[in-house]
Order: sequence, then structure tokens, then C-alpha cells
Amino acid sequence: MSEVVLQAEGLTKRYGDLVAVDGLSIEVHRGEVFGFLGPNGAGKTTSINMICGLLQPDSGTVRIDGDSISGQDEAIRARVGVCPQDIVVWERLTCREQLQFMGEMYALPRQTAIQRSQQLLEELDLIEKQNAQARTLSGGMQRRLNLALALVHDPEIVILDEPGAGLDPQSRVKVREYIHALARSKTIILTTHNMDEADRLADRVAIIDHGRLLELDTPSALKRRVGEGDVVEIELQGEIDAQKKPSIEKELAPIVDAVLLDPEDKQVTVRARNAVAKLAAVIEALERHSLSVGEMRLRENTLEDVFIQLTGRRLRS
Amino acid sequence: MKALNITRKFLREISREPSLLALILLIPLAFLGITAFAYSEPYQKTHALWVSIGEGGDLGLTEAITAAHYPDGPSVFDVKTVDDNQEANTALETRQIVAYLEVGVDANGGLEATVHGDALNTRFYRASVILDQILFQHADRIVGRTTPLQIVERRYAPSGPSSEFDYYAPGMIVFALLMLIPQTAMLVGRESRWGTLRRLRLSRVHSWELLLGISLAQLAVAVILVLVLLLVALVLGYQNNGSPLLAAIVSLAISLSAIGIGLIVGCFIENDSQAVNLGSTVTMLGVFVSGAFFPMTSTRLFTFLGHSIALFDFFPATHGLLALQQVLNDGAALSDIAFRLGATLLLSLLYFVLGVIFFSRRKLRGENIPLRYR
Repeated sequence: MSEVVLQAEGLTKRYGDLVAVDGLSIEVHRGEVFGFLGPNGAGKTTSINMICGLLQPDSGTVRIDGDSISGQDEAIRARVGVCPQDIVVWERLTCREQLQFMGEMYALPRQTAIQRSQQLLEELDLIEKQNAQARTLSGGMQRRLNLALALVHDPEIVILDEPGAGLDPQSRVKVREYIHALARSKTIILTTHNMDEADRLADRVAIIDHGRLLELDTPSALKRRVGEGDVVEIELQGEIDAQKKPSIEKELAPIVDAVLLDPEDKQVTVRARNAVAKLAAVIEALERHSLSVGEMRLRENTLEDVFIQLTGRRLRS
Repeated sequence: MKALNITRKFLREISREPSLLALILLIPLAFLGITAFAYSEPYQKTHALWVSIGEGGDLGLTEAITAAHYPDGPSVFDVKTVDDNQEANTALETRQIVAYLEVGVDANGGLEATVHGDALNTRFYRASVILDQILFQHADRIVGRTTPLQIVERRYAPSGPSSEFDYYAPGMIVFALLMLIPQTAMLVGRESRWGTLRRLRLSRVHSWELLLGISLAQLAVAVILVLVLLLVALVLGYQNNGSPLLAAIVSLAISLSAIGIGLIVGCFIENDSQAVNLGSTVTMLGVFVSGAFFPMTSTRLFTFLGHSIALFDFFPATHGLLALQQVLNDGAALSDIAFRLGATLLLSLLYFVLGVIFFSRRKLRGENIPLRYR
């Protein structure tokens, strides 16, 4: 697990004045599921495009087993398979035709391409639709075909860009199970803005924002870093006066370990050990500032809390 | 090998899309049908001519006009002598006749002739040229003078078009081939828009393999187009005098330019409608410039290898059309069209290379990945 298979050093990409990726350095270990977690526009997809060799970085290098991916060796590049965020299929080719076609594009022998197509159609539950044109498939089936197309050449490293995006719950479970199964034999890099997805799937998570790497560790270690205890989300019935925010935070600070006041969400999020026992004191403090408490939710720390602690804002924003 | 797989993929996609087939095949076929219907009369047509002879007689002119024949045998004029000017003018207006000739003898005993015709009727111009020639020759005969100029018309090819449809049919083939412009733009535009171009690039397909694959598919479509159009033209009465193989070679040369232009157009479109609209506009410009619909003339710029080069000669289909006409209508051999075929090939290659460079720079570079993939 500790052997480095992919190494990115100082990756930087600019689009005009916008720095999409700013000096990103990561090491991905063989056989792990590596998650890129960050909000939309954080630079995840640009990073992926540079890692798979589709985009030339302005500076920095990407190496697979020590060999630069920007070189001309096709064999190195073919060790990576990319499943893009959008559904990228040929509408008027059947599932089988496009899998075989892509297999041949990856220079697989014809017979191997046929066998791999058959295997993937079965594994991703598309065998009944093997002769259907892609345009006639449901959204979920198209997503699975999208994934199959990234795997047809049996790559060692699989990059999944937002694999859960646009999936119905049933397909999401299927894809999640498939990624789990895939992780047994391959190194997986996945990008997501879904903290639950990253938490469930990734062995290690890199949190990035504005093109910069903020943290990189296992999900449990990241959550531990935020602090021990449970999180209570308290919805308020009135709005928080922005001017009163510092005094409310000051009042709550001795009671709980961490406080997040979100005037826009009309919500107070607190984290504390034995949070339930401290709730009465928290509610009293809020009421002293004329804030009526509505619904309350108790939960464990999530990666979103990590992100909030790192950036001061929510991941989904 | 990868290029051939790409070719097969495109051909599959094209064959499964009726609207694409309609765009490229049905529209030229419709034009071909209309042309066959409208221009099926013999090219060396016998023109209806009414003659009104004055009191002094016509000094044998009507007889001379009646005696005029085309080299192949048919009479040039179907002559009818009339007295009623009004009736003749009505016949001209309704295009029942091509020209009306008033003949008389003046006070000096000279022949006096007035030719009436409809300036908007192109057939009048063709008839009047021959009529003028007959009139001057007859006048010379009257005064006992040998015509100082004897015109011997040696036709480029022995056969030539036998009807106007024969003349226009090769133009319809050129039109069909230029319809590859919107089709190419549509196909490559989709690859870019759908992200499949990116998928292909990830598979390490070289740009040249991709573009060769697309081009081979389009060239295969071009061959099918030419064969279908030629076959339908023959059914509609077209008289082919040349080698279909040579015609196919010329057609492939024209297609290459259409593919190159299509690649350029494909860089500027955002959806299929734009591909059809912009591509068809470029096609129609090409059709007119090449003279596929109507013969075009433009100012001569210079002479090259004994051939006059005008502005429109920088468009490959201009040479391609002439070569096709010479092959199909006149039965010209490869050596007869060497210059035109060479010019078509050279210019087409130039357009193709420009298209490849433009498309590669705009669509096959990492920096040009659509924003949503960044």
C-alpha cells in the first residue's frame, strides 16, 4: 500500500488571470482509492486532466512509476483510464460497438477487445443492452457505459471524475459497489464534491480549494483533526444579526469546542464532547440574544466539517 | 489500423442517421431531378423562327435559313413565314418562338433585316448568334463576295452534351460533393461537443490517425454519392460519354477540399443546426463560384502553363467541375484533363492541409478542452 505509483509535483495551471491549480503535489499509492475533495471550480478536473496527460501543466511534473506522463511513451499513458464527469459516449453506436472500438483505439488485439467488452458489459449490468444504441439507454445506464469505456483497456490507474454525479440512487449503489470491487485490483483516483462519497470510498482524501491542496490524509484522521465529539446543527427561527455574531461566538466558546454561525443558513453548528448534555446551555445563550431555536440535528463529524474548518465555508457552496 | 477503425465508426454513425443521409444525398438528388425535368431538351435545339417577308422579297434569305443544319443533322431553325406582326410579337412574348425576323429590300436593292427577340430569353441569344452568321454569309453571296473569314469549329471532344441536362448533371455531382462540407463540420463538431474527441485523445490516437479516419469515411461517402448520382442521372436520361472511374478520381479530389473546409467550419459551430447553416452557406458559395449551377466568368489574373487563371480558379471545385464535364460529357481521357485534375488535387490538398492544421490547433490541443471539462 505504501508504494508510490503516481507522483505529481508542483502542478500549476493558469487560464489567463485565473490560477486553476496552484503548485499541487501529491503521491498516490498503489492499490489505494485516492479522493480529491473540493467544491465545484476548486481545480479538481484540471488537476485530473494534467495527471492523465490531457492537459499540459504550466509547471510541474506527473510521473507514473517514475516515468513522466508528458513523454511520448504511449504505454505509460495507457496505464491510466479516465471516466469523465460528463457522459461521453457515441450516441449512435451500440454499447458493444463502442467498447470494442475504444479497445481497438487503445491498441488491444481485436479478440482481447471483444473479451474485455463482454466482461465489462456483464460486470456493469449492461449485457441486456449490449446491442442498443447509447442514445436509447437510461441516464444511469449511460453512466455505467461511460465507466466501462474508461476500463476497457484494463488500466492500472483509474481516474473517476465525479462518478456519482447525476446517478439515481440505484445506479449510485451499483457504481459504488463496482468501485469497491475495482479497488481490489486497481489504483483509483476519484474526484468528488460529495463528502459522503469521499468518506465511504476513499482510503485517503486530498482536500483542495482554489487550486491549492489544503489537507491530505485518511478520512478518519482528517475528521479527528477537526476535534473529538459530536456535531449539533441548530436551526434558528429568526435571522442572526451579523453585528451580534462575535458576541454570540464569544458566549458559546466556553460551552462547546467549536462554533460556526451561518447567518445565510440561519443555522448554528456546534461541536462538543457530550454535546447533548451541553445543549441546554447553548440554547439559553442563544435565547439571550433573542434567537429562537427550531429544529436540531445531532451527527458525527464529517469531511464537510473538515472543509468548513479549513476554509470557513460549506463544501456545497 | 486505428484510422480504419475510426472510418468504420463514422460510416456506422452516418448510416444510422437518416437526417445526415438526407442532407447529403436527397438534396442533390432533388436538384438533379429538377434539372432533368427543366433542361432535358436537346442541346442543339431547333429554334422556332417566324419570318415576315416584305414586298421586295427576301433575296433567298428564308431559304438559306431553312437550309441551315447542325453538324449532326438537325435543322437549326424551324422557319414559318407570317404576315401578321402582332401575332408574331405575341408569339415572342409567350416564348412560342425564339425570334422573329422581318426581311425586306431597301431602295438601293440591298437586303434589310430586323431581328426581334426577347432579351430575357437565353435561347434567343444562342439562336441570334447563328442567325447573324447566316445573314452575313447570305449577304456576301448576294454581292458575289467570298467570305473573307471561314470559321472552322473544332470541338474539344467529339461527343459533348446532347442536352442542357447533360451540361448541368456534372455540376449536380459537384454540388453533392460540396455538401460534404456541412456533413464533415457536423461530425467533427459533435466529436468535440460530446467530449468523445477528448476520449479518443486519451486513448493516444494520433491526430493524423483521427483525421485520416474521418477523411476516409467522407471519401467513401463521396464515392457512394458519385455512383448514386450518376446512376440516377443515367435513369433520368443523362448520356455519359466518359469513364466513371476517372470521374470518381476527380470527385475524390474535389471531396478532399470539401473535407478540409468542413474541418475549418467544424471549429466555429456549437450545434448541428449551425453546422448545417454555416456549412451549407459555404457549400452554396462554392457551388456558384465553381460554376456548378451556372457558368461563371471572372477577370483573368495571369496565365499558367498556357491556362488562363482567374480569381475563382483558386477554388478547387472550379477545376474539378471542368474536369468532370470533360470526362463525363466529352469522354476526355486522363491526359486531356491532366492540368485540371492536377490543379484540383493540388488546391484540394492545400485546403485539406489548412483544415487539418486549423482543426488540430483549435480542437486537438489540451488548452482547447471545453470549459466544462476543466
